[in-house]
Amino acid sequence: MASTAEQLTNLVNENIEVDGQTLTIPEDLNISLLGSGVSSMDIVALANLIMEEFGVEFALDDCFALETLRDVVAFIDSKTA
Amino acid sequence: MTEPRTGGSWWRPYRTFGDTTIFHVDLRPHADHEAESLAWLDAAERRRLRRFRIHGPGRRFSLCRAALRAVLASRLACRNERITFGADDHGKPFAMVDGVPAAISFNISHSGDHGLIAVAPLGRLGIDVEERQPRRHMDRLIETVFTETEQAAFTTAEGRDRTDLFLDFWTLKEALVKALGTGLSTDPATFEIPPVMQSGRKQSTFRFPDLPTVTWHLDNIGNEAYAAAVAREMTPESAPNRDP
Repeated sequence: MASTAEQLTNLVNENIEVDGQTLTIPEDLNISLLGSGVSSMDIVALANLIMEEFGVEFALDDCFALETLRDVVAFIDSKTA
Repeated sequence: MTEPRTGGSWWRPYRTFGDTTIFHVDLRPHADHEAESLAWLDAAERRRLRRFRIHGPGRRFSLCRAALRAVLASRLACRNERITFGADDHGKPFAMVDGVPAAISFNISHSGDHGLIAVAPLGRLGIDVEERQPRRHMDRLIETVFTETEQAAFTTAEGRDRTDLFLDFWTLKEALVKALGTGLSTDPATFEIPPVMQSGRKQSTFRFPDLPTVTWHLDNIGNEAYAAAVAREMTPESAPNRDP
């Protein structure tokens, strides 16, 4: 079974592009989407996809308070533990 | 940090509303503009620029930030080197001169080849621009960021019209939450675009349901290339019918 980190990486790779390019996500997921040029619109869409994929509530104020994908993984794991 | 020439090579005034000026920033690839923009940035901004892993977002950041610095330096009548930026709890930036918050309000947005900067002497500002391009997750977003009343406007809109309507509504909402200062931490589905603007009018006023004491001017300032909106806090100076 894929880990939360693997699932989230796949979700981002399949759904998020910047200038037609997928992001290069480091293994430690220490990357900020906003800081990488991902639009706020795509981040709202990703928050919706995360709720569907992981079955967790992921409000926008939580979403924009989390800085990196690593923080998002920790948030999801805290909700699904 | 050297002082580059002050001519607006890639930015120009776009619209004016009272004492608020909107500048358009040309973000198309341009080697000379990109090189010139670097001269405006301070050390922290150059470090931020180096962290972009894809060139396009870095170019947009550099061109927009340089244009913003040029506009602020002109408005504040100070040299670029004296300007730094802080951010509030929600990350909304504000300008400082010699480390002291400056008496000026601004907001900035960019999408694709277009950036917009709104500047005013006072009052909170929010601006958003979205290039008129199809969006991958549009239908999902329509269901989640718009109210039922707003969603009803999409029932008869198809193709390009649907995309344009989506981007118009999105920019109106994002301009408002940016003006408020919370950004999209405020759920856009918790408030509604003024009905007259849902019907196509370009200007209205707005109040957040949980902040009824503050009124905002809301303007749709888009064109054929991009959807855009600006929200301006109504101040005694900007209120209609104010006493002379």
